[in-house]
Amino acid sequence: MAAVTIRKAHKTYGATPVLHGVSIDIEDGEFVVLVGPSGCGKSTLLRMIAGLEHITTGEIAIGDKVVNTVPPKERDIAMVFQNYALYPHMTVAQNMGFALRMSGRPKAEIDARVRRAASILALEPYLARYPKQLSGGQRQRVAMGRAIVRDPSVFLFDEPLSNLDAKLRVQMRTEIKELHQRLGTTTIYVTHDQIEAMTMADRIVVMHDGVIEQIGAPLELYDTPANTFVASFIGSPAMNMLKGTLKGGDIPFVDTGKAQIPVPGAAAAAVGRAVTVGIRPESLELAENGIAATVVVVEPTGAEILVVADIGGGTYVTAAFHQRYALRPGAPIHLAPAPGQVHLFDDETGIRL
Amino acid sequence: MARKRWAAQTEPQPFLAFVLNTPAVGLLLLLVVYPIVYSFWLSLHAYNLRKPRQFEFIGLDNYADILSSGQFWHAARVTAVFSVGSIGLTVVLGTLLALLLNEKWPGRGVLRAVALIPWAIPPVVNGLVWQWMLEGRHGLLNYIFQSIGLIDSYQAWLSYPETALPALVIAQVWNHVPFVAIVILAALQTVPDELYDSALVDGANIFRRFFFVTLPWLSHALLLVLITQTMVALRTFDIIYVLTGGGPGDSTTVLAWLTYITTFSYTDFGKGNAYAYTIAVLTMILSVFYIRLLWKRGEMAK
Ligand SMILES: Nc1ncnc2c1ncn2[C@@H]1O[C@H](COP(=O)(O)OP(=O)(O)O)[C@@H](O)[C@H]1O
Ligand SMILES: [Mg+2]
Repeated sequence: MAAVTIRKAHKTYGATPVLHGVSIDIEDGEFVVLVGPSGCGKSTLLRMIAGLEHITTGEIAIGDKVVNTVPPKERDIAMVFQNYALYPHMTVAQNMGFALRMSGRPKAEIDARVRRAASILALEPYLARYPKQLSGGQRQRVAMGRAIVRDPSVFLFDEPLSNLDAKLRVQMRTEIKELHQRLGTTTIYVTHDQIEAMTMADRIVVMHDGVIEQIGAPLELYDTPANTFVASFIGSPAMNMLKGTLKGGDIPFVDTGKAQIPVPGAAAAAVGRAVTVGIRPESLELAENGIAATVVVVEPTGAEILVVADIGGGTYVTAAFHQRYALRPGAPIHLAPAPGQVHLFDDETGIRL
Repeated sequence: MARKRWAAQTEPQPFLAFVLNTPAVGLLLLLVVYPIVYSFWLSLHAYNLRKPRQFEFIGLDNYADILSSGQFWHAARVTAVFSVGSIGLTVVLGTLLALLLNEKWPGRGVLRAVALIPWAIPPVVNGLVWQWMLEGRHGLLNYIFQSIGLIDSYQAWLSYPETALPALVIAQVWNHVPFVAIVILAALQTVPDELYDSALVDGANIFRRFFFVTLPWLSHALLLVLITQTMVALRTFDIIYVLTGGGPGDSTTVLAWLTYITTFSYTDFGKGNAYAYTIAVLTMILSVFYIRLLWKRGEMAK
C-alpha cells in the first residue's frame, strides 16, 4: 500500500496539450475516482501513473518514490483495463498468474496465490476456462483477479464497468467497493459516469479539458459544487441553471426576467452582478406562490416523479418530487426552491459565490 | 403499391434458385471438376502418347510404379529440402518484415508499398529476374559478392548442385515473402493495444510480449500462410523451368518438375497424372497436420 502524489503533471501529445498541470494528493488506502466527460484526460493521467505514458513535466510519486522514469513493472501497481485485456490463449488461472510468472515466482506460490484470489472473487469453477468461454461479468472479475493476485500497492481501474449491462454494472460497483474495504489497497478509478463516482469514491476528482475542477468527498461536491461545471456534472437529473441578476433588498433575490428566486444570505457585495443560479431538482417544491410554470412532461420513476416544467419562453426546469402528485401536462403550477438550497455562481467565471 | 413489388420474396423459390445457379455450377463442373476427374481417370491407365492407341486400365499400377521408383524418392527428398527451406525462410522473413512494417517509423509507408512489388511479379518473370541476378559472367549477385569480398571469382551458381537448390530457394522466398508479410501485418494490426499495455504492467519484456501476446494472436494467420505456402512450394514449377530445368543432373528435380517431364517429355500421361495426384494427396496430408497443430491454439484467440 502506498500514497500517490501527483504534482503539476502536464501532458502534451506532439503540440497538443492534454493535461494542464494536475495536482492530486492521494492518501494511502484511499479510493479516489477521476471523473469527467470523455476526452478530458482521465485515462491519460491514469496511464501516466501506470507508467504507460510519459510525463511531459511535473512529478508523480508512489509512496516516497518519484516514479517519472520508473518502468511500469517496477511501480508495484496493477491495472484493470476497459476491455479487460485478458490474454485470449491463456486460461483464467494462467491469466491471473501471468505477472507472478513474469517475475519468476515459484509455481507452487503462483498456484496458491491464484487460488486465493479466485476464492475471493468466486472464480474457482472457471480457473481452467479460456476468456472467450466466460460472460462479460466473469471476464471483468478475472481482470480484477489478475490485479489482486499481485497484491500491489496501488490499483488502477480505467472504466472497468463500461462494457457491462446496467444491472451487472450496479452489482460490480458494490463488489469493487467491498473488495476495497476488504483489502484496503489504494485505488484510483477512472469513469465518465458520475453515479459510479458518487457511489464508490472516498474522494472524487472532477476533471474537465485537462484541468481539475474540484476535489472532494461525494457529498461535498454535491452540496457545494465549486463552479457551474461541477454543479451540472454531478447529480442526476442535472441541476437547473438559470441566468439572472442578483438584486438586493430585505431578502436578496435573483431576477431571471421570468422569475424571482429568493437567495437568503447572498453576499451584499455581489448585488448587481450577473449570476447563474443553480437549483437541484429535488430542492424544488410545489408552492402556493413561487415561480409560475406549466407542466410539460411527467416522468414517474417509482421512487419519485420527475416533472419537466416550462417557466416561460421555453426555459425548462426539472423538479423531482417524492410525493405522487397527480400532475398532467399543461397544468399550471408554482415551484419554489427549498430555503437555503440555492447555489449561486458568477455568470462570467462560473465560480461559486 | 409499386414499392411492394420490390420487397424481398419471403417464400423460398427452389426452381428459380436452380435456374440462376445452373450457369455458374455448369461452368465449375466443366472447368474444374471435369479435368480433376479426368486426370484421376488417366492416372489409372497405361497411356503414353508414343503409343496413343494403347489405352489400358491398370488400376493403381502407376502409383505402385511411382512409389517403388528411386526417381520418385529422390524427387521427394529434393522437394522436401526445397519446401522446408523456402517455407521456413518465407514465413520467418515475412513475419519479421511484417513486424518491421507494423512499427511506427519514418519511411514505413514507402517500404509498405515497395515490399509488395515482388508479390506482383509472376513466377516466370521472377525466374527471369533471378536468372539475370545469378548469371555466371555478368550477374549482379556475383558483382555484389565479389565487391564485399565473399567470393574471389564469378561463379555459375546454377551449374553446381550445392548452389543450384539454395539459389532456387532464394528466388522462391523473394517472390513470396510479401504475401506472408501482408497477411501477418493484417493480423498484427488486430492485436488490441490493451494487451501490450497489460503485459507491460505485468512485467513482460519485449521478447516475452512477442512470445506471449503477439505470437499466439498470429496463430491463425500463420496457419493460413503455412498451408498456402506449402501448396505453393509443392507445386513450384515455373522458376525451375526457367532457372535449372531440374539440373544440374537431377539435383533440383522436384516432384512438380518430375510430373512435368514425365507428362510432356516422356509423354507418359498415365504416370504423369499419377504424379500430380500424389502431390495433391501429400499437400492434403500436410494441411491436415498443420490444422491439427495450430487450430486449437488459434481457436482460443477468437
Ligand atoms: N496517443 C495519443 N495521441 C494524441 N492524442 C491523444 C492520445 N491519447 C489521447 N489523446 C487525446 O488526449 C485527450 C484525452 O484523452 P483520454 O485521456 O483518453 O481521455 P478520457 O480518458 O478522459 O476520455 C483526448 O483529446 C485524446 O484525443
Ligand atoms: Mg478514457
